[in-house]
Amino acid sequence: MLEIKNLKAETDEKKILKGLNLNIKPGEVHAIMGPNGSGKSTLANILSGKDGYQISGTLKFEGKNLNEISIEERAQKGIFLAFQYPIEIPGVNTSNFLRTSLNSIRKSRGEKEIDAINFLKLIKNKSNELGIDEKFLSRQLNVGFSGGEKKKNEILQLKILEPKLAILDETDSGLDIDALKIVADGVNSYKNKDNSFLIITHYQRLLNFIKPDYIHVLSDGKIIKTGTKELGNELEKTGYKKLN
Amino acid sequence: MAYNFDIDYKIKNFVNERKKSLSEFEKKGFPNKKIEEWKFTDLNKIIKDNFNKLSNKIKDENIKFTPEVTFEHNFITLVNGHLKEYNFDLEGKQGKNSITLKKINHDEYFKNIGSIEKNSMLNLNIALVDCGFQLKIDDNYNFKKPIVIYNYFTKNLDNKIINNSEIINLGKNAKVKVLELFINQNHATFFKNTLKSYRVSEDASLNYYFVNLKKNNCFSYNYLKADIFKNSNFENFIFSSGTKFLKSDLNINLLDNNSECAINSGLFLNKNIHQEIKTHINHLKPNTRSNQNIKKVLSSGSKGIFQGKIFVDSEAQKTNAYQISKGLILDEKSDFTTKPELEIYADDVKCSHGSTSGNIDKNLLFYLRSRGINKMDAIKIIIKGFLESIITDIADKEIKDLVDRHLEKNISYEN
Repeated sequence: MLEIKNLKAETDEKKILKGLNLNIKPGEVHAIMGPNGSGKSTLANILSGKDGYQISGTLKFEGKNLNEISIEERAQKGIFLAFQYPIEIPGVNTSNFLRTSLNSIRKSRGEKEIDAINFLKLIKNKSNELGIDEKFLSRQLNVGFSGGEKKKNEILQLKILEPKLAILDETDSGLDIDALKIVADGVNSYKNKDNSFLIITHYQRLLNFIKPDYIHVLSDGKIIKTGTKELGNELEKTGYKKLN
Repeated sequence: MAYNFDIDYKIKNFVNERKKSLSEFEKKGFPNKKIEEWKFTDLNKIIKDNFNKLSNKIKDENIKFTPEVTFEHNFITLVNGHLKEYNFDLEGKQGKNSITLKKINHDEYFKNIGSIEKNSMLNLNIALVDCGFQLKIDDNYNFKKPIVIYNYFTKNLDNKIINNSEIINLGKNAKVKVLELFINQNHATFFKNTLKSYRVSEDASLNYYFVNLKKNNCFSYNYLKADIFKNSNFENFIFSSGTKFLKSDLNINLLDNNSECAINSGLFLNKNIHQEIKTHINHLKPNTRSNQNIKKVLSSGSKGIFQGKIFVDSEAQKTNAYQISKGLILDEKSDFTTKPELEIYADDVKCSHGSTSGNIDKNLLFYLRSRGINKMDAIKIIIKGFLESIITDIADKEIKDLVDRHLEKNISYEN
């Protein structure tokens, strides 16, 4: 599904990714762990098409070269990024935004747009699953939401947009244990043999709830170690420093 | 530029005043940027650039129309500033007895303009005013439904100047919501010079919404004087987009305890449109409140200006005045100007003002696009979101929905 070969990325000031390789097959859950500044969020941003980076290397999604397609097309093709810091958009109603988003994706695939009534059913259903108060849906997008509410809102979007590849950028940060469980349950209930996850995190904590098939350690712009879930436990005990 | 302004001698009263006023205008000419109040809007130049002649001789016209508003409403129809038709049937018998609507007459007009300091546009209005309306609402009358003013303009107005006046007088404890729709879908290039005078008596409430979103070649100057009395409130909402030139000169006097006003304005300008909101709020007695929320979206060489003055008299303790002006500037060709002014002579007051301006936030755009929304649609969502806080404050749901729908339909942005 996702094929990254020798990916290098830099900004005007500094080199961030220095030759990263990663392969994700349908149905797989990959976790990327690593210290601050190792390039984890840059990888997430580059996959969803954020500009501001000079990039080289191969970046393919379902065989298509990602460098050639725009941010929205990536989303339309099934890449979803759950933001580390979801953006507040004043004046934009959460529910309307989500419907516009879903319909943009449907339209790009030649599918029929969902009408207001059916969308309302869908969004109520999914919000209930995540324990999101319906009142949030009529509020302005992320404005005045607590950290936990913002993260839940990201997972709600994931469940409604049904991407093929979901990238979770530190979705666990700022969540208390109950919220973490809800978010993990949301992810787990969406997981199936066709879609894949790339979970970016600092801590083992989230991986106790969402079981990854592979764990990669990213350090200084490269994956320096790959293992299974035992690697996470090991890192929790020893920290990243030992690996360097 | 040749202009041809003729006083109407068929009207017998106030002839001398009108003659004097015309010569005042001729002495001063159209306001230019040397005058402080017109610093950012050089009307003299704008007139020269857009008109080669200007005349106040306008043929009386009647047109057929179908009301655009679908919710239940009373209406007043104006064609080229002239009162043509009205209907208050929804108010029933009691309403009809409490509402008086007439064509403007010079006695009433001169009674209302006495205290106004006259600039040359007002000199011109005084000399040439020949149309408009006066609406009087008796004490204690509370309108069941809003009044919609359909303000139509015909195609035969090229190089014409309309001088009209609109007077609204609310008795004690009277309440009304008014929605003015500016409807001009032809391309006549004309000037409209309007003097509005509102009186909101004790415990009364006037909510006035002005909406104009379609592109037109009107050049419009509005001068408003509003007197707000004890425990009464006035809301003025201006939502404007397509009018080539607009200057709204709002002068509001908070005359007694607990009188308050709110000015909410959203301007969405493109294609070299020039619009200015200028306010002058006079806090003259204690415990008066004013709140101004001005937002502008600017693109394609447009100019958006806000000059906002808050005056607090030495008597006006416990004044609470707030003013914010925000600009969303979509390209480098456009121009956003804000000039706040506070003049405070009382020591126990709360007055503040603020201004921000910026481009489309890249992070907002990235977030929306990462959800599959095309760039142009994402920009529209951001623009609409930016203006939304002005619309959210509209208390009447039907009017709010109408403004929302108009915006949704007319929002267009080309890069």
